[in-house]
Amino acid sequence: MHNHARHKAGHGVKLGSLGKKARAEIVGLDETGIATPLQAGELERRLIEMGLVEGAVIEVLHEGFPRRDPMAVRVSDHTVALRRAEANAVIVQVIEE
Amino acid sequence: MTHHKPPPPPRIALVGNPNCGKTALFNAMTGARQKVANYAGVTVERKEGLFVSPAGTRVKVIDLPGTYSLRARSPDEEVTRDVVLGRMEDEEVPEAIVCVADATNLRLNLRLVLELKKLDRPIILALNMMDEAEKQGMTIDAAELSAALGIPVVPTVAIQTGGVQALLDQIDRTIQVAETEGFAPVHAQCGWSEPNAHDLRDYHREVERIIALSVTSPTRPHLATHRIDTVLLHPAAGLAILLTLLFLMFQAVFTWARLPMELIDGGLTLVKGLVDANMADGPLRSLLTDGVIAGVGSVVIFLPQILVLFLFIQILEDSGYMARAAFLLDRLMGGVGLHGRAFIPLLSSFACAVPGIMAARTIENRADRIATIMIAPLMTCSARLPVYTLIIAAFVPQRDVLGGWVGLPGLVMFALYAAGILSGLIVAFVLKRTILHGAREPLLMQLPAYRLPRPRNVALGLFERAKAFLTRAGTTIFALMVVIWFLASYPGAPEGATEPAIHYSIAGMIGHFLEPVLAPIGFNWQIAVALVPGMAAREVAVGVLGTIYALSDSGDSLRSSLGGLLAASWSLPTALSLLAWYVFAPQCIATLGVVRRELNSLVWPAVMFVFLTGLAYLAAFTTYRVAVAVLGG
Amino acid sequence: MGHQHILTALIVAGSAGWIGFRVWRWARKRRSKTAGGCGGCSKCGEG
Repeated sequence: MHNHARHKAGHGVKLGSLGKKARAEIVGLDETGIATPLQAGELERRLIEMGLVEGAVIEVLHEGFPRRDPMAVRVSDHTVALRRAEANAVIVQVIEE
Repeated sequence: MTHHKPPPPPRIALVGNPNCGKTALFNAMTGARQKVANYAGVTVERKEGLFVSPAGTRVKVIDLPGTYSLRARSPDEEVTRDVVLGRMEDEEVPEAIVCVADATNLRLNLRLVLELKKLDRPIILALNMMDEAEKQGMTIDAAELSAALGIPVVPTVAIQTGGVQALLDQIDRTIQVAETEGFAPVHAQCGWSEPNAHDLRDYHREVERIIALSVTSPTRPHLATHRIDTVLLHPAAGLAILLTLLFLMFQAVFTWARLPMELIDGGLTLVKGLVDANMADGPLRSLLTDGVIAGVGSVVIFLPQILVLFLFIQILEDSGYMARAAFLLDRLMGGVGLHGRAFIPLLSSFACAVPGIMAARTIENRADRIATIMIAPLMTCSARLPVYTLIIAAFVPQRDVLGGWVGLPGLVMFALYAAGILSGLIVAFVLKRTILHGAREPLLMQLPAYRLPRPRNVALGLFERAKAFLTRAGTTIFALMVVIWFLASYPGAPEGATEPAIHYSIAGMIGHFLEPVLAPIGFNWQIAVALVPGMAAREVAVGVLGTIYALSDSGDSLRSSLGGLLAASWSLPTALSLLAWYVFAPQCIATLGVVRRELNSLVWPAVMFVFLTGLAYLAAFTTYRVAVAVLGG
Repeated sequence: MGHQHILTALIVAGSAGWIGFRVWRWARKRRSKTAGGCGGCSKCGEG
């Protein structure tokens, strides 16, 4: 499966490291260190606008090709597609792998 | 009693997330009474319609581009923001806003409603697709929602007869209230300012509170969509299906369109026969048969193919598959530095590069956008279809290959499309590695639930296309053909001429003048003549060839089809060379014009023209030389 | 025969004039930049 399989429950991990079918709760957004052409703070705002915000429960539904990128994530009642690189700005707590 | 000019009809703006069924609602409200134009100064499509409300008021509706927030990120979204804020030049601020929300997917839609409420204008929330929400086991308490939001909320089913009645009634009430209270001043101070991350989180909490009060959702919504996506988004199966779909699309362009094309052809021959039989020989008869019927007719005959292509694109768009295609291809296109979202402009470019280049506006990053725009003309547009079809029909034998289920002409056509796509990818790769390097824009998009495309919406879309195409054929192309006919007919042949009259005409002179430049790639002077007006619109080139060959025909032999004439007068290498030329040729002023405006630069269209012409010449030269060497001149 | 020539001349002149008018209008739009208008493609009849 994926490279970062061993998460400790209760410890924040990056959404970009989750594999298919994983369920998690978003605990924070942190865009530092993400390579993006956007202005500072813009990626965070866009993530919130797509419903990726603290407290939301997400589930990884689909993975792209190759290198399982991008990923499709269910957020409450809609589905968002995003690349793993940007998903790394979303810090989650894994509920179920 | 003096007659007062009636006050202008009140205007309603439709605002909503992408994929909320806004256009279906717009179609349901206005029917075919729509007007598609552009906003002043920008190339965003402006859709306006008119309906008569139940109380008898004429109301104007504007369908604004879909957006998640008023914090505009792309030129499309800027239009929505500027219109609702009253900042748009030449555009009155709407009297009321109808916020359209997908009832099955309320969260993101309600955030936009909260933002719109800051404007202090009359707002109505239309809960669209209520039938689907109910089918999924959702219950939405519209009264509770209305109380929590402080605005009227009406459920609608845009795709059902009478499904928008409640909304129309509410619009009447809202207009009445607004009229008695007086419309808000146009440039009133509004309470909206660009939200920061903190504000957005507040909106989000408020939405969660409201949803908890008024909505009960099933535990697993959109189960069907999820199941379909397990297959369609599968890394292997999904990509295979996407490729198959594209292949079927191009195959269908040929097979489905054959019968209607034969009918049109038969009709044209009939009309030509009637004109020949009933008119005295003279310039007018020549103008009608050689200029109008041969010229305009050879363009009109491609209407079925263009409609089949648009039918596929429309269905893929309406069903929600387009976003999946972008998902499937994002990483692969990332290999050459393109954004997954570039897929939609590139696919539209198969219809026409102009809307394709405009669709690239959804890519916010400039370098990504330029790369997409530069390769859009390499995606074979429908205007090149007439040229391809004509030459393939004339030179490629109708033979079945691959076990009999694929025709050779279809295969050649596919190869031409593939050549365009492949060279586009190579060009993008080179551009992104050299002058346009940099990180890609994030891919952050919703995968909407699958929906069955509504025949009514598809039909309306196709009707618009057909109308536009025929209008164009009847106006611009008609006028061009008449002029071409004139240039190809005058001055007439001198006494004792040995060649057909067209040889001595103005068009003939232009063709002979250009011939030396084009001779190395195997083009004769007739093709040279066709390429010049082909700059205005590629499909015109076919019409010109039709006129030229009709005029150079000796006359007494019964004229067969243009394809037959070409097969008799061109060598195979010349035909192949022209095909190769058209894969690359930037033979379209409209495309160069839209590139200039979209990128607000003269440099990029110039670069595009030079590099595409160079590629076209090189490809045609190579094809011609290789073909001559292999097949003999 | 005379009628044919006159009619033909009228149609040709009309068409040429119409193209000229379209080009002129297009160029004017381009300059003023307020009237919008698209580059003209086969998608819609405008431009």
